[in-house]
Amino acid sequence: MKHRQLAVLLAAVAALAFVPNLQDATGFPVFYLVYAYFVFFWIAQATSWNILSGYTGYFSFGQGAFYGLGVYAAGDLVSREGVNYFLTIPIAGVLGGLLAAGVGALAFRLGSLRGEIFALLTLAVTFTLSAIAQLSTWVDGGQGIPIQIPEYPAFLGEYQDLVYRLGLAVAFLAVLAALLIESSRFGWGLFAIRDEEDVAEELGVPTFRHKMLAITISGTLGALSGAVAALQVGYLTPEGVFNLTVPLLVIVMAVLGGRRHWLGPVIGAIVIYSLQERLTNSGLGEWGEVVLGGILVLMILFAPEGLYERIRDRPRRAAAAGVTLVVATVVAGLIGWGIATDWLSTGLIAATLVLLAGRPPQRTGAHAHRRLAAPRAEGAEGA
Amino acid sequence: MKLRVPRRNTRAVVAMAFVLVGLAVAGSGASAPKQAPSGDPIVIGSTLSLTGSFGATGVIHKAAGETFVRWINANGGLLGRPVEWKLLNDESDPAKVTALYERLISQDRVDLIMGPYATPNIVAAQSVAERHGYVLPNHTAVLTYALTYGCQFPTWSAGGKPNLSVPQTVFRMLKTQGTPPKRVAFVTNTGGSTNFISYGPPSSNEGGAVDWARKQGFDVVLDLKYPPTVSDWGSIAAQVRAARPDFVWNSGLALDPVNLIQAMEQLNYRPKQFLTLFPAPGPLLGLGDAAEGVLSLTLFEPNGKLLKKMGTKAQTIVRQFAQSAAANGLGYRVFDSQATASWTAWETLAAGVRGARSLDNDQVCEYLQENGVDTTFVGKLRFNPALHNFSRPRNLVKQIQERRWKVVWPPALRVTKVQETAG
Amino acid sequence: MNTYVQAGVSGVMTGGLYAVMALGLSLTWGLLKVINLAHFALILGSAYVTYQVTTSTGADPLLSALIVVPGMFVVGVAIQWVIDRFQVDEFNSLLLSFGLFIIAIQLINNIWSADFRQIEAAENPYATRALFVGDIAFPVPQLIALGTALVLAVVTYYVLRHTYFGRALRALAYDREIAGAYGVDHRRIGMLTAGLAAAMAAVAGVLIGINQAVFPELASEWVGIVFTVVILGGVGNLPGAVAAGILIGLVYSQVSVAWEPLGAPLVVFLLLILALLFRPSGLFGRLGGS
Repeated sequence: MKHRQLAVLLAAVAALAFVPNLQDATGFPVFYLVYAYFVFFWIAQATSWNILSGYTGYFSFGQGAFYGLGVYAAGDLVSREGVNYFLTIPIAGVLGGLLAAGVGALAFRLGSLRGEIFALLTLAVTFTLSAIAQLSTWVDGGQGIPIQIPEYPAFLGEYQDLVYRLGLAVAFLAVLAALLIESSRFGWGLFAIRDEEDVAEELGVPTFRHKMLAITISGTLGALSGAVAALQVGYLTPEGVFNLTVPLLVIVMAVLGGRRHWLGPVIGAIVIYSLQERLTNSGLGEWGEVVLGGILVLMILFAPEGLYERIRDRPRRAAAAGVTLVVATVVAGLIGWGIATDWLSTGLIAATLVLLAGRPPQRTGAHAHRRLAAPRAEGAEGA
Repeated sequence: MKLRVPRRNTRAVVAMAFVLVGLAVAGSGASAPKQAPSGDPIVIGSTLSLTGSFGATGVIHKAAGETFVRWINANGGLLGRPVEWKLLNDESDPAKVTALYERLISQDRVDLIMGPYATPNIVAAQSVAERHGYVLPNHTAVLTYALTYGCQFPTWSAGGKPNLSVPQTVFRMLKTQGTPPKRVAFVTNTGGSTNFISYGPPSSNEGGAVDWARKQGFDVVLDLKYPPTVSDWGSIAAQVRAARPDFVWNSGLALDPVNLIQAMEQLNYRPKQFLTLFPAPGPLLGLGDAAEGVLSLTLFEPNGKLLKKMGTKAQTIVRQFAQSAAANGLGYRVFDSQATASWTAWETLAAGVRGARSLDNDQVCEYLQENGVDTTFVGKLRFNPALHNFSRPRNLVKQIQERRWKVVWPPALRVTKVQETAG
Repeated sequence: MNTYVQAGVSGVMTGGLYAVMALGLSLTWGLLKVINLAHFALILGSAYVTYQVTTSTGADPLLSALIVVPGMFVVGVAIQWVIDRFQVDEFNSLLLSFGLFIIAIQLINNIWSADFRQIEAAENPYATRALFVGDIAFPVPQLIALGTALVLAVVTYYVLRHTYFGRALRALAYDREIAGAYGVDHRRIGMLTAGLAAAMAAVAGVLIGINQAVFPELASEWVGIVFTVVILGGVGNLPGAVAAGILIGLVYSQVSVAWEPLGAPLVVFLLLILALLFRPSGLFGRLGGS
């Protein structure tokens, strides 16, 4: 199982890495590479979040901290210190890992760490980094950092090819990490922590060490992806980098994709980004965001366990969604609604709606999230 | 008395007349003032921040752009073809800006592009424009040093060094007053352009308005920096009051001066004079009495006398903008600095295309670099490559008098004199 | 010295404003396990309605409360009905309300445009007024906000402690099933509580409306500081939220004077981190000190 998944993943990534080479032959617009880059970016960020929060159950609002640290590490080192851009990527990764480990060391040592405290702690760390970026004239100081296009060897192709391949590489790394963790003893330990931490401890899972490792991997991946994103953003400002978009969207993507399987955040990232992108260019104008919010609401109400579990648990519905995906994409293409990425987005949205249709699943207490629920014992003594 | 024309000359005159008529006909063919444009539209692509933190001002640029496109199509179009504007919402996010410009250029294959709103987005768009060799006129970039692309043409003509030219203008004006202020308080939003004007570019010793004031012998009694989002204006106002300045310089954005003035007003304190850089003009006027006498900078204000002098074209544009602004839900519909910069950027693009007689971006760029552009509202713009294509500074000072913004400086362009005390 | 005192007074008053915004959020989070991001949109929406009513009718802006408070109560009930119907858990309530937040902000944008909206000075008798004690000014809008926060917090505290509704609600918060076995109807009580929380959002909105110009993005600017107030105060602890708001306002203003306004957010968030690490139940305990 694990080996087959690995083989498929490797083949897919190898094929994707080759795509920019087809550009000369087929003449497809560079924009497709940009589109794909953003999908890779969100896959990396959502997967990074999921390795920490999906697997251990400790929800983080702090993805923006790892992302922002990576962006600024690359931006500052390149623009202020003249460091080679390619060197800044691993440096950003290390810094992200260190920051994450620091947060983890503080948080996970607390005896009675509740989920909401962890969530707010990570959010506070993000705001703190943002305040530092505002204050420190070395980091930013408010005027923003214009990103210079780095020099790179010619065989890497056009600029957008480079960004595309870097984005793909980080996304691959993230998904690979998720896949390997999931099928390892370490991953099993994390799931045990998520399901019942006290029991996991009893069973001999070294919970503190596991959580530390998970948060460090998550932080490293988030910052690596941020360092690549610096190239695409072009101009960094503290408000622009440390806003609530990244932390909220990764949660939306991972949760709606499904946070119990490595494919969940991948599906979530593809669907949500395509949806957003489609709505920006839909001609719906000011109603686009209303539709986006509406679809989020529907997904939470009708598929709170995520699309991946829907696909897995309902093979016939999944098959119908697959057919819808193909049919809707082809139809959108035939009537010429937008461009190729729009056709695909249309297909994805239609397929998602097919997956969502039907009665909401009967929820039992078991699915309710433990980390954020107040421990019963605490309530009992107060009542 | 009979005027005798020698025969020889009559012939010459007739020939000349023919040539002139011929030229006029040819000329009218080229610019065709009222002839409807025909053929495939020329598509100009751009993004604007229609939502998010830049949204309020982004909408002004939408209204200005729509006014221009309607105007040019009613006046013969561009190269005889109609103009179409493909506008996307970048949601105030530079990362979205790069993706959307990439889409406009490489996928939608728009003929030309127009810059987005606000410096971060413009710098982000610049990298895409540069990769594809597109001309990038832009209306609102102030961080001059970040604009490095040769074919970007900024129309917020603050000069190459607004951190020096803006204080120069302001303090020169102050010194002409009967009792010029002595004690100056600086209150600066550390975000992008306001920070730049107060303190100059990072990693350079050029300095900005604060240094300038010191060098000019003013007593800088307060120098406060605040973040783009302020939770408590009261504590800032308390410090301004305690410093007893007679001139408050607020390098502020949008609502900052409104919030600061209101907080000072609550402390029952009004400085003798108050200047702010990039305010949202409408809400300041909404403060009523408390904002009387507030100073700011502008490129142009459609003040009665000034506008009349400029002729019917300018008047029509100002009127049409007001309609477009109303349709876009804007409360303040005056064609002021933002709209002027926007209009001028569109004029620049159109002039480049007309001058080059082509949609080829290289040729348009070259034409603009060599010839600059004659604009309706800010005169001749020349794009100086040594100053990142910024033209010479045009810093007008405006003041709220009787609840309207009026140009009070420089003397050649003002409609009234500056009032020396607020309220 | 005077500057510190005046800034401190301003800070405390402003803290009152953030406390009013935090009350409803704290209430539903603590008692219903609903983290309602849409709360911020309800506040902003109420501020816009206040602007609209005042501008169209010329009435005293505070009178708008007569419209927005019952209106938002209904909205709050409706949201809770959906959450209950679909048994949305605590975490998913955050995502659900994020979706609602996006919708609401965009609707505000579509109705009133992205431009600034502000009650003109002529129609707003509160914005620039202050009461004076010696040299020290107590700005009227913030004074009203602080007073409102105190009253709402104390009344809610009393209701939670001393009425059947309050006891039932707290019982629900501790254990829904056992409370149900004792005949507590969680639906009705839940909807009533959510309605009250939304009504508090409406009150906050009116107070914002008389205090400043509004624009669609404003709601996002509140999220950080209001969450800080809720957590520091202790989730579900309303008097705690008021105390936390005052404390944050005080710290913010003193840092602003002693150091620089730019440094204030850094100090506030560092304090938040310390508080989370050392007083994870909030400075004042959870659920009204129970």
